[in-house]
Amino acid sequence: MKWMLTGVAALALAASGALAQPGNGNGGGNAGGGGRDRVAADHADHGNGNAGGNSGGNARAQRQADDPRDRGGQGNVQRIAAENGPGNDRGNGNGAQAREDRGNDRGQPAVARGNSRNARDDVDRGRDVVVRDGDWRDAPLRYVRGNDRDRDRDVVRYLGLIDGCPPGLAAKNNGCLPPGQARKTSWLTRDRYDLGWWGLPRYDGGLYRYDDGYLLRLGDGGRVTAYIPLLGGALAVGNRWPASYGYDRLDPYYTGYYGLGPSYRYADNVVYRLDPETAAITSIAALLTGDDFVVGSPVPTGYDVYNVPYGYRDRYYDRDDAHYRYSDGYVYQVDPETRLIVAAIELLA
Amino acid sequence: MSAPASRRSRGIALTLAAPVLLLVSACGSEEAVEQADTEVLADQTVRDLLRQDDTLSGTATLVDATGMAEMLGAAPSYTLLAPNDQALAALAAGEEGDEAAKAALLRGHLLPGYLTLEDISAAIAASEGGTVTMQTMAQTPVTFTSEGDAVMVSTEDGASATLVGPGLRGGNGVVLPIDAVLKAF
Repeated sequence: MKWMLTGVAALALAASGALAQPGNGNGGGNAGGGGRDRVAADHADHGNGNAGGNSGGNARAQRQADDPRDRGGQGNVQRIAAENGPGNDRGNGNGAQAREDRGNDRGQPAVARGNSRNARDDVDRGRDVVVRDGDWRDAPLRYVRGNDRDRDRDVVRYLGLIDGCPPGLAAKNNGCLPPGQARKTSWLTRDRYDLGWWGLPRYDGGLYRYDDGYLLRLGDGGRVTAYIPLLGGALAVGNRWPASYGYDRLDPYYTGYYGLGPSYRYADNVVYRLDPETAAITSIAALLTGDDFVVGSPVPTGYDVYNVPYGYRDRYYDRDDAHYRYSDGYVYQVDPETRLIVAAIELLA
Repeated sequence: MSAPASRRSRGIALTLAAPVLLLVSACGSEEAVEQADTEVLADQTVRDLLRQDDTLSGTATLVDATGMAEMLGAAPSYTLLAPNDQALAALAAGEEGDEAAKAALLRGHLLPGYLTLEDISAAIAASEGGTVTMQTMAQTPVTFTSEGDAVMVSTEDGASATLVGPGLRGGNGVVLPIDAVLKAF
């Protein structure tokens, strides 16, 4: 509730982004400030790409190893950024300044386009345009149009198993055998091996056991061959992040939108904030669907209900010629007849 | 839905909002429901709304126990299908350990964005088969259907619940109370 006060809203913005409230002046100025940061971050990140990345799993590893300054293969990025900042430009609807940034990597095609869905650094961003309205109360927007099937603003879906044995089990020196009997509580009335139950349906099948905050993958002889640290379990607030696990780089849009701060990790569609010094998890920043929304492609299943966030409902409401759906920080315009995604709209509070 | 006394202690903005909630909770008439449908407590977050509802204390505890409170108090939008206390009673919400299981449960009750009961009902009415599907933050879908005036929600593994009342709308999301847990145990 405190964040309704303008004076406190800046802190809220820093910690977790601001809340857009249409027609409500409270906090609007700060929201605009966030928008400006976003534009600045964008400019820093575009161009000079390396077109890195391989296919499939290798690309995921590549992502971790990449220098954060290298954003691969981004094509022509065209922007129109309104110069209207918060406060001073109230009510002024003009003053848009067209601006065009050309990346230096034209002609460097990304590797393995189209078959490396989890690699986001090896792709062309395609054409996108920042459109910011004049009124400071309006959230800055970015429309992404055209065929940007290979855009990099998506997040990767999941991370994968960690080979070996989780630390607690390894310390027992029993050859990495799982505990003889799973704990029985009302929350776990049987061994949980169903990955879907854990919100991990996209992993390969296999024999899994739950133990003490981990899903253990069992191999020959019942030994643990790999494991997945779980949200709320091994990846609970206060725990140290497993070394070299997770992604520490998301598209700058996500870091701004979810207020990720200086240190974060992303794994299995969950984004965690970390203490940069101790690598301890300080909070859960976001849950993501990981659903693939691609302009020009059909809207994924599971978005039958209008779900645009409150602050944007007066602008993006379902009409005869356009539907709008929200997922992972974007509002997508959908053609009601063809169900194809027409545009992706960034929301910056 | 009820109007807990604790709500009154939460300051000015809440005081302004409280009469509407009291009205809604005082009578279950359609009028009150309609009013609730249009009322948005824009200065409240999903976390705030949960903590103010006496019937959802178990879910509020779950949110705290799994470290998701901060997320549900921030700007990005989520809709929480909140099992009421009766629904959670069998699961001993206060039990030690197994926070991972609790987090998995909660994740399957969170939907992306801002879904009101009105939106869901409208989508059901407009659908061909009378069912609509939404993705959850657990990468598994839930399906909404209507039975008479009630809206039901179910999962692929057979769990189902009924939406209880019009729900609570905050600035960053919506709380839709349900009468059962959407997870097979």
